[in-house]
Amino acid sequence: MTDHRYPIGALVPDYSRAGIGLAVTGGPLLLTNPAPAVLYALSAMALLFAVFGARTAIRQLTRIEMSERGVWQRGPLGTAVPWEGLTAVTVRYFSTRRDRKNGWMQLRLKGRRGSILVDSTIEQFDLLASRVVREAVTRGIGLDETTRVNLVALGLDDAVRVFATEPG
Amino acid sequence: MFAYLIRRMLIMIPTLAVISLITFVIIKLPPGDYLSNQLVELQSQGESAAMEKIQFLRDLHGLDDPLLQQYAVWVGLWPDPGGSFNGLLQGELGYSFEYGRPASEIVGDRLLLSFLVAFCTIVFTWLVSFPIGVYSATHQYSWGDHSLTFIGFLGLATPNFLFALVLLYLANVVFGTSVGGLMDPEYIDKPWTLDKIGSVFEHIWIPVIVIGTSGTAGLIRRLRANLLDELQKQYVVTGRAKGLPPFRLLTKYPLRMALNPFISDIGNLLPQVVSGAAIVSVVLSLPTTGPMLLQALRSQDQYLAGSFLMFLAFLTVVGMFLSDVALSALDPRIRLGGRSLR
Repeated sequence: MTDHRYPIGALVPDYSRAGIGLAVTGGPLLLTNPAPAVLYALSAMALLFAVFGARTAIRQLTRIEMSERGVWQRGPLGTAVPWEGLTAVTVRYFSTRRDRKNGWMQLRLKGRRGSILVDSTIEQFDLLASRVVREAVTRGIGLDETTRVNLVALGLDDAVRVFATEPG
Repeated sequence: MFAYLIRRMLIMIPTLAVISLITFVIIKLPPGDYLSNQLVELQSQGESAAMEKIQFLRDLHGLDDPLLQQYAVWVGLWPDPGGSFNGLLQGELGYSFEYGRPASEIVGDRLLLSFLVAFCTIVFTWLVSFPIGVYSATHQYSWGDHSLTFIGFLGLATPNFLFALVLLYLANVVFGTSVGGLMDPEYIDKPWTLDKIGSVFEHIWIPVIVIGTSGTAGLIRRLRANLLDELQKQYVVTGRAKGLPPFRLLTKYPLRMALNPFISDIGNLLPQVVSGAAIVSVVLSLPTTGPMLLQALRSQDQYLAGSFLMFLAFLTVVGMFLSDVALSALDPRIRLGGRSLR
């Protein structure tokens, strides 16, 4: 069994983003008297930053366990995706830069009763991703084109090649 | 995706702040301002009463305050000399010295109409270029491909103002539409009614076609080239060999991948459309922001010009934000070679 957490070093930037976002949107809301349109826009953005801060806090308390039985998310929003219940696996890549570099990946495991979303900032993400993909390939779960390209970038070419030979 | 949205939003906010600062500094850079120019003119005429009024206005609007303080007052982060917040954040566009009234009163419906023209132009550009681009790629080197490409280049090569004059003539002679403007004269400065909206849509097609045609050629060429690239890839050949119906083969992946330039162009199109519309607006007498911005810049009417420039910057930044979010949702792939994930 392997145990994965988000290192505090990876969460600090997210906490900072939430804090800065709240300051720059909430500050004018509290200190000035904005027009209704600006008020709604700033309030909506402040709410998003607050939710992001809460999400980061939840991540800090979350632990991902991977075992022979499946993947378990322990923490405030705990859920589980056993291997036999795995229905879909996607890997998405996001970057805020125009050249699409210095981004991060998101691995989503969908099960019959819930789904688990893991960012590449988690400890041993490669290990987690390779095992999940292996299980997906073994169980004949289809991987979309985007996921396959991203897996190749992760160095999981073998899994992709195995899948590419599968019919359909 | 949520994290992406937050990160992208955090880039958008300081971008707007920096743009507003740069806009303000640039407007203040030329020596003097509208009031000091007026002052010199009045001094030469020996009018002392008006000079007192100008000094009163300088004090009222804090034109002798430090630059940063003036900027903060303009944005709405610092109280004005009267002690209240009256800046962009509060929906106040500032005071127009040239017209002697608050800028929001002068601008009226111009911002809304500019946005409407820009929005309709982008929709028109997409509606025209999308089917033509797809047709040109799927019927490469056919008569249809050559003809449509020719028409596209014609749109690109014809100056907007010339095209505007031709369409004005045609609209007047063939369709009997009143020449110029975005509505019939009886609706100008009147409250919005269904008849007024109808009149706007009766007139808007001319500027939309004039401004939109120049953007279609580029999009057609890019969509055609991207789709041709995709259609020659191995997975398309395999799909064709396996007997996949042509329409499904086209729409399943190649078209989605080729759509990227359409999405990424939202951000680029908006400023192009708005700034490109300035000369067309003069020719067509459109009540949009373009002609007023030109006049405000010429006369150093700083708050009016600054507010218009901020509006353009806001449209651009929001357009970029929307296009980036849409692009990220449409194509969340890594580019091979950029493996840094943390």
